[in-house]
Amino acid sequence: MILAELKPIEEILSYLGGAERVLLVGCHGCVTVCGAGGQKEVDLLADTLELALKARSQTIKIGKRTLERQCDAEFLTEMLQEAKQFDVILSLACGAGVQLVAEKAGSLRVLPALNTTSIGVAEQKGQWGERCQACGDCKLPLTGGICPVTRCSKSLLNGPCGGSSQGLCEIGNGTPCGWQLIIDRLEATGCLDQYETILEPADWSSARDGGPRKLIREDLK
Amino acid sequence: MTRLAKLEQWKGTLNKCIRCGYCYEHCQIYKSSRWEIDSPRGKLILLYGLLSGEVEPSDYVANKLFECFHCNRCQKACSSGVPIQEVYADAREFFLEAGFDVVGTTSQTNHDLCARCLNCVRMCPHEARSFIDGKIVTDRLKCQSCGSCLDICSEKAITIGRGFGTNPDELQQAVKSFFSQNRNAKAVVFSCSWSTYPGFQTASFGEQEDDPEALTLITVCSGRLGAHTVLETLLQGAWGVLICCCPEKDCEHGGSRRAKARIGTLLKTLEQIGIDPRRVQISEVAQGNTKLFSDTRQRFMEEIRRLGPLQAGGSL
Repeated sequence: MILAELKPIEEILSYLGGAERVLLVGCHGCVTVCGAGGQKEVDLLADTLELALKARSQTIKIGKRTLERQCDAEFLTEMLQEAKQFDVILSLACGAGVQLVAEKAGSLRVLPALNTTSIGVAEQKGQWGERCQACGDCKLPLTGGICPVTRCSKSLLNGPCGGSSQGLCEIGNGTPCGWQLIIDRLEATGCLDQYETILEPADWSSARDGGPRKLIREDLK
Repeated sequence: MTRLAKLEQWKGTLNKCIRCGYCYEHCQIYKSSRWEIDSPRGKLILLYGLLSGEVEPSDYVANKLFECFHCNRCQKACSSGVPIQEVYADAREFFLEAGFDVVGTTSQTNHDLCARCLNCVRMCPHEARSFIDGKIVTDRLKCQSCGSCLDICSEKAITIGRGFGTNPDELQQAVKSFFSQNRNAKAVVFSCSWSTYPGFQTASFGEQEDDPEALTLITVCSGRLGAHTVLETLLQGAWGVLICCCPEKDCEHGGSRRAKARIGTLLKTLEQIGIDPRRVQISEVAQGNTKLFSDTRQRFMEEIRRLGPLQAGGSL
């Protein structure tokens, strides 16, 4: 899933400026799953904004909605109708959702309430970790199902580097060495001989380096 | 009646209940409804009737037995030493096995709203929630109605059917009434059922129940108190909010730790919007430490009076 977290409230307030009518829009997708942009978070942010402005003797009209997904235009239609009564849409979706809302919102300002941080998994209760950088050329079959681009801090395709010590990466914070994880996993699955294969330099044109990417499926058109 | 066999063993024990009623004032369920049937004594009498054949098993009776916050205060207060929770446990097992439709105070999930994020499954301190056949299912025997899952859910899909005054909407309604009816209302004290509340009930604190300045509300476990409820309280006009929780090591639900983390985040937010973080305080009070509860409350109220109302042009 896409992981995100709430921006500091002072940053959100600075973007809002003097907006008097703000529509808060949550998303039932990934940001609900990681507890950043669901209905509860919409309520919480609405109360926080109201309190912040009440304390400054300012008035604010707040609308609240949570959509099925903000990354599909069909789910935006009703919300965009309602948004005409507001000065600003404050979206609690990931960066993709915020951008689609902005594309469809005409002259209305659309602001993000979240920072989108990564594509990842739930590692344990209350903790999520990054697993994929969407490079567009998945190496997982060769690396024991552990992504060297994401899990190695240097994204080395042939590791580890000299910064690996006792299974940990030199960047600290208890970050495991991605290549140690790969070697351990290859060994556990009886595939350690794969480690001998030197991975060719990656073609990063399928990743961000090739510019914004599109996915086209003629069969779904 | 063979299905009642497990309950039969308690017949003698039920006879020990002398109907003294010491359990009454310790029970949040009874305190909220003031109905005999909701008191631990009433439930024991109900079970007695079930065993004697005077009461027929029914969904109603089954639900009564599942309406409990598991604080165990009734058992500790029982003058006859009836192991109330053990008796309840066997009764609940009987009702579930017999197929009665039971909800009680156990947490339930609205499957249409649920996002299957599994956060409630992972965090349930009693391992009472599971993901089975595409749905979140509550094990009603394991669920202790602590409500820890209520504020975890981003979709607000989890509810406790009868909150007996402890559900978020009930708390907010009580706050609203307090501030609309008391000109001197200043603060709200959210108090955990396990630690501070028993102290609150003793005679020397009796007057605090009618304190026009501060409303004390029972939250069951502090871990179920959402930041939203605290913010709503400030928006209703409270000058400050005090949350009293158990010491972390004493909390059976991991609720104190979660409450402190939640309030810690809230305090940073309050600071960023220019509101004095002393207006929201969370304090550990061990079970039965009535003096600490009283002192904490008094110190908090003095601080709140110094800070004054939270209003434009005034102190923030």
